[in-house]
Amino acid sequence: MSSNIQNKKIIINALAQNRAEEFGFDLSKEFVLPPLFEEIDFQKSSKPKIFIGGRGCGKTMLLRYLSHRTSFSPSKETITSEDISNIGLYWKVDTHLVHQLQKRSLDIETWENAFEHIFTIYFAIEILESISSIANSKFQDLNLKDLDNLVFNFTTDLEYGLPNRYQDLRLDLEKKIVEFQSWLRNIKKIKSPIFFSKNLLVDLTKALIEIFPFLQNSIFNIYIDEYENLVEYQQEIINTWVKHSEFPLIFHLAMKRNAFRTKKTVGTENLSEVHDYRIHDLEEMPKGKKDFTIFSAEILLNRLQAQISLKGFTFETALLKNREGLTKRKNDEYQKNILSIINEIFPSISKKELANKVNDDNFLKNKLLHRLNELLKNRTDMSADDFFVEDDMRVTFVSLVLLHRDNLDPADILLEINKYREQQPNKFNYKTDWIQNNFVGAYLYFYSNLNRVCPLFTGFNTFCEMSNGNIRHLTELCYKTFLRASDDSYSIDVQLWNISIEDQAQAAEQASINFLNEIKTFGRYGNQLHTFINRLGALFNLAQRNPKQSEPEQNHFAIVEGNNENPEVNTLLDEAIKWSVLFEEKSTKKKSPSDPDFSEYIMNPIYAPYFKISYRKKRKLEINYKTLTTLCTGSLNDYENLLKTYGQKWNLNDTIKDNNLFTNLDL
Amino acid sequence: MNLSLQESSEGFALDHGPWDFAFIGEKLDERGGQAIAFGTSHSTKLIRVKYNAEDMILSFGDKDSSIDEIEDDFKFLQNKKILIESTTVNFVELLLVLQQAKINGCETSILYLEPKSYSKRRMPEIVHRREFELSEQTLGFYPVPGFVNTFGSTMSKKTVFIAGYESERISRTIEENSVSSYNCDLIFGVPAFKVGWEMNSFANNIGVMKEQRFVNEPFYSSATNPGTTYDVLFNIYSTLDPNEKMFIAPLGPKPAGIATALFLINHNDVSLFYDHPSKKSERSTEVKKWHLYTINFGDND
Repeated sequence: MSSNIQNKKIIINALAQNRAEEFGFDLSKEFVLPPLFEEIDFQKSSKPKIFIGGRGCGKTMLLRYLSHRTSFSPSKETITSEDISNIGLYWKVDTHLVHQLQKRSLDIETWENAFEHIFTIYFAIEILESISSIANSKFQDLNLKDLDNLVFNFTTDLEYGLPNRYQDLRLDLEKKIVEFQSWLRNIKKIKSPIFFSKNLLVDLTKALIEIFPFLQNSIFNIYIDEYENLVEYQQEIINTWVKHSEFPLIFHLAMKRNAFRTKKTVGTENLSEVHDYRIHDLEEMPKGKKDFTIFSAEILLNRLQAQISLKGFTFETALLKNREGLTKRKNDEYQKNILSIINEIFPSISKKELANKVNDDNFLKNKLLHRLNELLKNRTDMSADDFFVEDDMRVTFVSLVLLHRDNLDPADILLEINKYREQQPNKFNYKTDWIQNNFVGAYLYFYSNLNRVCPLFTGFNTFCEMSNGNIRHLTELCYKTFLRASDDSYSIDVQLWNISIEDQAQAAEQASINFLNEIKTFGRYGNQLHTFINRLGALFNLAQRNPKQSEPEQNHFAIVEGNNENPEVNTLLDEAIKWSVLFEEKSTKKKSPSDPDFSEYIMNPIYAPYFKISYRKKRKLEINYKTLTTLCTGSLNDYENLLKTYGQKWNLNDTIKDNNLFTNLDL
Repeated sequence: MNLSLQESSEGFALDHGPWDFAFIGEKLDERGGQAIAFGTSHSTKLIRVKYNAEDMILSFGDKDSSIDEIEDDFKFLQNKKILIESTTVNFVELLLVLQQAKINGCETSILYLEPKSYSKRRMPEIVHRREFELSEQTLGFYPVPGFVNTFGSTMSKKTVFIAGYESERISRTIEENSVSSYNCDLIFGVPAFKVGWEMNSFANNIGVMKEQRFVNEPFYSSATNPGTTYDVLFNIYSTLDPNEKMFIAPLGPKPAGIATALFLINHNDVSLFYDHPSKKSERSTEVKKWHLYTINFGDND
């Protein structure tokens, strides 16, 4: 038994790491090439790239994968000249460093020079380290001994005054960091260092290309992570370098959405998309698509296979890590295989099976019967049993909301049920398709008043949809599911394969709560964002409690009236998009072609299980700007009044009084 | 350095002053009002201090001083007796004034009034029954120059959190500073101000420890005694690996903040992680106990 527990821990720990920092810099074992890699086209284009996306979408993992510590990992069997042609250098902006490089009663020119200096030193060290990585790899044309004999001609020039031997230069540059740090602590007491310009990087790369013929066609790609943390003048400097990227130094950035404080350069021109750079949105491309499902499954199975046999299936590791593997990974047979394994771990059930599960649970079944009886109590000619279609309880759930609608006669609904039972054309499927249009809304409505975890949020495909392109969300959902399953069982087999729908549902709700709490950590407006999303989610939850469900699955909003005058609200909306708490999409559904464009704001579906609302983008709630202001910045009283107004509109005031979304949580 | 402690249920029972200067902050609640009144009646001059983290400027009295000019501007403290009223003064102001007190050889006392209770959150922000409404907004991790060291890639960070009630501040520190949770220590204030309050801190932070996958056992030090927290910090510092550098995130009660400030002043290779929260008004109710800490900077450690 104890070894089983140990094995469980190992398996669970395989998914415990969900931050790039926890994997270190050599990702040759862990990284799985994302499908978008093909679109990025590293080989042919030397145009700067900007990777955008929220926390957890894989920006840092991607950049670290592209950096020399992974490209030239000692664990790689072969290093080709093609590998050498793209050398990645990585720097994550350190807020503590860059914020100190401003104000403090020194002029802006001094700080510009200081920033360029420390940036140059970091990347000069990175360049030297990249050569060391090549020498330490299985690349044939360079070894560590060669570095001992490596001498640079230019470093001793008056401009630099640096040692000319590789090892000495490396050490001296480290000392320059310490020297800079001392100055930065005491800028009034200590004389400033002699600042280097970025030319040092150009001279260093040119010298290396001259010394080593194998570098002849190499590009040194500078990857700057968390660009949004730079202060404005620093962004201007980096923007200039991005705009004027030229062989062999090309600048690339990674950032959250809305992260440019400025697009200015230090010259007169601005940085412009397409002309100067291409954007790659890491959340957008794989979102909700089969690509993301396959990619996620590959990541999970790759981590799990190191710990446990996957029923005879093994990856060729190279397939997941090399560009050549991307084509093979599109093979139907391969994808079918991957999906069948992952679906055996996180099985999903059809909507029909989901509905029919109510037959196995007396509490839920009685609840459903009771609610139907309440609706039919004045109709002596009908009973709840008439609406119970045990073979397909979707019909019953949908009937529950249809019976609330004034424009539908219960007798007509029953007539359609009978046609359904007799397999004749009917409105539950066929053209009207009540089931397709109403089941999810009706099912969520049924659960909205119950203190039960809703099983809708289960199955690997659903996990992927709720993760919406965010690998961290996906791994956390799966990790929590393993934890939940292992709480229930001592048997190793049970907890890895065929994890129950109930365990998955519990895990989804727990992960959802955790990610909701995480919002508080999203920058300086974290607390306000957290309140905003709680209020918005509670409003969608209220809509979900509307028994008619004539507009089922309302889970996004559009502002259709009023002007955006409140800067605080606009800031909060920008921040919500920046942190991927909301996703903004331009609406494609205009009532008339002459209507102005407007945006739709979709709440990140990872929060759906907590609010018991749909994770699918279906119907929008049209609100005015005043409502948005109340949600963002209104007082508690304003907000409560807003809920009351909507409650009256949706005939739900009793629900507001009786049910409190926030009090039954015990974390 | 020596630290002596007094405590009493009333301010008048403390053996103290008079002081030449009393440094105070903003009155946010009743105990802040009592603390400032104490400073007013026992010092020759009251100096209000406020640090602007974005601009790195310390305002004191009617003067604004850039962080790099504070030393010049605080020469008037030479050999004076000063009181720092830490109930109202925020952490960074405490740190900066204490540093100047040390430089100028001041006889230094620090006053702290324990709250009787903290205000709880109201619906609908609550997603946790032990959540408290202490901070309104945090500015972010703006560095305080002089208390941050930047290191090359070869150094690893040992981050020490002093736990408070707002666990999300730990998560934020980890996320925004690339902190490895495998190399973090957490100090809980036990005994707490009041029996049972440690449960608030445990309940709020255990979830974060689990979520962030902390592996180290937590440390404990008295919530009211900066000396014990200082000792715990020193123990952690003494066992650092040669390639480790220590960062402290003081997120707990003020006495632990006092310990952190003293520790940072005495160890310039240790750095600060701080998110500059703006405190909510009426965050606590009434006063439970008065503490007066007296510091002699004579010898380090």
